[in-house]
Amino acid sequence: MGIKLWIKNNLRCSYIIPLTTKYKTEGTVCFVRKALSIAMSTKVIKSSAKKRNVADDTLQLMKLVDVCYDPALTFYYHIDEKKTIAVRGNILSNFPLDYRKIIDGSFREIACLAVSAGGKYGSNARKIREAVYILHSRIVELLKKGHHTSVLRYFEDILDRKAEHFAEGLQRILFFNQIMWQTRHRLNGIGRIDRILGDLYLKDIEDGYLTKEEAYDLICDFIKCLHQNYEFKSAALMGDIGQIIILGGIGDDGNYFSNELTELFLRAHKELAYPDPKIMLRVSEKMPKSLIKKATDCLLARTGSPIFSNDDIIIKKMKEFGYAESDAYDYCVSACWEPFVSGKSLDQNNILSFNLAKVLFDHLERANLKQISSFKELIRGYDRTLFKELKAFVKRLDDYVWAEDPLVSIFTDSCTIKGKDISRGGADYNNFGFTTVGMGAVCDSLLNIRELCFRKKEYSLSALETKRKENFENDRECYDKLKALPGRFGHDEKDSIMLVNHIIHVCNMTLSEYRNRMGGKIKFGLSSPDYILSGKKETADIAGRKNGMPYSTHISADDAGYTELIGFASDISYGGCNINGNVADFFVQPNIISDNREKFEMFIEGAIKRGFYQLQMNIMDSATLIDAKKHPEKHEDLIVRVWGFSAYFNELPEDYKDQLILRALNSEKSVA
Amino acid sequence: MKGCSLHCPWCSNPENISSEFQQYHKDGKTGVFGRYIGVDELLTELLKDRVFYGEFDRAKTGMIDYPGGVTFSGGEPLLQIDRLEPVCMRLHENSISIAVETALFVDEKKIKKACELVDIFYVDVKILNPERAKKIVGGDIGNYLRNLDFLMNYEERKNVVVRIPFIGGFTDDSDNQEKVLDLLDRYKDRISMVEILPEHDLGRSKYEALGIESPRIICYDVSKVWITWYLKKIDELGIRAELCVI
Repeated sequence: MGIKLWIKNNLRCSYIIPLTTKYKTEGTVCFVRKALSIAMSTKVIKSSAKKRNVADDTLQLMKLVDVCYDPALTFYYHIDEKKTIAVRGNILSNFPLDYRKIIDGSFREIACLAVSAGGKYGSNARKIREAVYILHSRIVELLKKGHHTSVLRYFEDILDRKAEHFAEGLQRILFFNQIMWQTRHRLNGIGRIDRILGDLYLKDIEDGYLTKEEAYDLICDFIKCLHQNYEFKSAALMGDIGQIIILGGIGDDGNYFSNELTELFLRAHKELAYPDPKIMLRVSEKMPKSLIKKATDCLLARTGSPIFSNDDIIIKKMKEFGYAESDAYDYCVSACWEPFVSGKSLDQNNILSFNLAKVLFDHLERANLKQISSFKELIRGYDRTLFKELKAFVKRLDDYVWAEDPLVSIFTDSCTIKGKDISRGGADYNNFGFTTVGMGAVCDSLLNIRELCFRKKEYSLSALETKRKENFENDRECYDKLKALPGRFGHDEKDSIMLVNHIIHVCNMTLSEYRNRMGGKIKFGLSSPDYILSGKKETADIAGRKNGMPYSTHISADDAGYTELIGFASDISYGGCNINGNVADFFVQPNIISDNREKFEMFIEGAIKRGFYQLQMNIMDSATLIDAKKHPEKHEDLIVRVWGFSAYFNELPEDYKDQLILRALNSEKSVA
Repeated sequence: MKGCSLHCPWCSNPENISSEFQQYHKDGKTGVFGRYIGVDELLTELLKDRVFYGEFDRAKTGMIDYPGGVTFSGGEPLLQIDRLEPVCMRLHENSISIAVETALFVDEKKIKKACELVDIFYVDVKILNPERAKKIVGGDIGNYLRNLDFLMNYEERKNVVVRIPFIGGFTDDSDNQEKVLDLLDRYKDRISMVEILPEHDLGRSKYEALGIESPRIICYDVSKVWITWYLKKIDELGIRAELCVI
C-alpha cells in the first residue's frame, strides 16, 4: 500500500488531498504554499460525540456552515468552502446522486424509510435527516428575513413532498448537489435531467404555469449556480469538476427518449459556453436527426460538449456485464464517461490507472530476449506478464477503505432494504473500475518490433531494446526508421485491430473471475485521464514516443482520417470487463463543420451506425491555440476538451497546452 | 488514381501527374507515392465506410441531392475507367453512388464507358484557347469539347458539376472567361451547378516531399473582384454557382 493511500485510509486530515491535487502541476513550492493556505483557512467541523462518525460530523457541519443568498440568482445555492468534515477512509465520489427520489418523492420519505431500518444504519440516517432539515430551516429563515419571496416559493416545502413544478425540481437538485460538495463528495454528476424533470416541465407548460422561454431562463440560472465554486470543485486540474448532465437515450421500450428539455439544455449550454457543467448526449440510430443538428450547434460553441455515448453498443454490453436490463437502459456516467447506474451503485469507476505499455517493457526487461525468436513468442510473453501484473494491480484495489456514507446510502435503493451502508456493500452494484493508458503505444510498439526485428530483421530485439532504454539518443537513424513506420493504432486496418482485441481478450480473461470484498466485479476501459502523467513517468517506447512524452489520448490517432478512426474504434471488442468508458477522441477545425454542416451531421449519423462506444471532439484550430499560449489575455474564454472534462485553456499546465497544440497541428496535417 | 493526361502548373496533387511510382521524403519519413491495388482490396477498403455514404437509389435521387458515396479522383481517373468497371458495378449493387473528378482529356471510348458507370461528373473547365491549353496544360481542346458534348448529350442525363479553377495568370484572363461563359451557356440546361475554385497552395508540402519546385501561386486582390463578377455572370445564365472555400 502506498503512503498516499495509507493516509487516505487512516488519517482524517486527508480531506486536504482532493482540495490541493490540482495545484500539483504548479511546482512544489507553489503546491506546498497553496496546500498550507487551504489547510489554514479550512475549518474542520467535529461533533462533540465521543466516538464521532461521519453522520455526527455532518450534523454539526450543517449547523455551522454559512448560509448566504445571492439575490442575483433565481435559486438558492451556496457552498461554504471554508468548512468541512474530516473522516477516515476514501469518500465515495464520482457519480450522480439519484435525484429522481427527491423529485418524484420526497427526502422525508426516503430518510424516514432509512431511519426505520434501525441499528447503526438507521441511527446514522436519523442524524443525516436532522442535518438536512437543519440546513434547510436555516436557509428558509435567511430567505424569509431577506424577503426573498420568489426563491422561498421554490424552497420552502422541498423536503416534505414530491416536486410540483419544474423550477422547484431544479432547486431540489441544486440543494442536494450543494450538500454533496459540502460533505466532501467530489465530481458530483447531475444525471439524466431531461428525463428526471420532463414530466414536471410538461405539466407546467400545459397548465400555463411556465412558458418555454421562462423554462430556458431557469435552466440558464441553474447552470450558472452549478458553475459557481469553480476552483473549489476542480479536482485533478482546474475544470475537472465532473458535473455531467446526461441527455437523451434509448428507453427499455426500445424507443429513443428526448424532449424539449433535451434541446433547452443543449441550447443553454451553447449560449452560456461554460466548461462545466458539461453535457453527455446518449445517442442511437433511433434518435431524431433534428437532435444531431442541435448537438452540432452545441459543439460549435467550442466547449467540448456534448460528448456522445452510443446506447446501441453500451446498453447491450452493460447487460452482458451483469446490470439488470432496466438499469442498463437507465445508465448515467461517472464524472467523465464510465457507465454508472444511479441510485443502485457503489461503483467506483475511476480508482486507478493501469499502463498497458509499461507491461511490454517490464517483460522485455525480464525476458531473455535472445530466446524470443518469433513475434508469436513475444506476444505470448507479453500476455503472461500482463496477466501477472494485472492480477497484482487489481489486488491493490482491495486495500481501499471506503468511508461510511449515510447520505448517499439514503439515496441508494438496497442500502435501506438491507440496512447496510453503501460503503459496506449495501448497494445492488458494488463494482470497481479502472482506466488504462498506453494501448496505442503497446500496439504500435509490438507491430514495429514485428516489422524491424522479425520481418526485415534490421535489428535484433535486444539491440532495439537497448536503444529504447537509451531513449534512442545514440542512434538517430533507428529512431527515424521507427518514426517512418506508419502509425497503426487508430487506423482502420486488420493487424492493429486484431492486436488490440487480443490484448483486451487477455485483460478480460485475467479479470473475469475477480470479485471485491463486497462481491462486486471489475471493469476497465481504454480511456484514461493519465495519458500525460503516466507518460511523464515512463521511458521511451518503440512506437516513436520518447522518454516522458505523453501517450495517445484515449482512442485517437491524429494522423488518421475521421472515418478511419471511427472504423477502428467501432471494431474494438467492447464488452466483458471492457465497458468502463471507451472514448474515440479527435480534433476538428471549426470551419470544417461550419462549411459542411450537413455532411458533418451525416458523418455523426454514420458513426453512430458504425458503432463507436463514445466520442468526443475538440472543435479547435491550432492557430487559435498557439495564439492563446502566446497571448493568454486575448483568449480568456477559450475552452478546450482535456480528458473527460473541459477547461479554460489559459488555466491548463503548459504540458497540457503543448499536447493540445501538437494534436491540433497533427490533425490539420492529416486533413490537408 | 495515379496518372494524368494533363500537367497543370497549379496542380495541387503533383504526386498524381505521373503514373509511375515516385519516392518522397517528408517529416523524416521516406516513402513511395503510388501502389497497385486489386479490385477486391479496393472494394474492401471502400465498403468499410459504407455506413457514411447514405443510401443511394439511382432511380429516385434528384440531380443535386445525392447522399455521400465514392468519388474517384486523381490524376485523371477516367484513364483507368476500364479497370474500375467491376468496382463500380459492385458499388452500385451496394446502393453506393459514384462520382468522378475529371478534366475529360481522355479517349472518347472511355467517356462512353464512364457514362455507363458514373452518376456524378465533376468536370473541370480550365483553359479553352486551343494553343494556350496545349502549351500550358498539354491538352487537346478538340478532344475535350467532343467529350464534353458527348457527356452533356448522353441519353441518360448525368449530374454534371462544372469546376473552374480560378488561377491568376492562367485561367483568369477575360478572353478565357468569355469562352467559359459561352460554353456554360451552351450547356446550361445540363449543368447542375458551377463551383469556382480559388487558387491555393495546399499541395506545397507534396511538392516539397517530391523535391519539385512548388508552383508560384499568385494571390492578387483583383481575383476576388473577378470571382464575384464571374459568379454573377454565371448566375445570370441561370446556373447555380458557388465559390469553394479552401
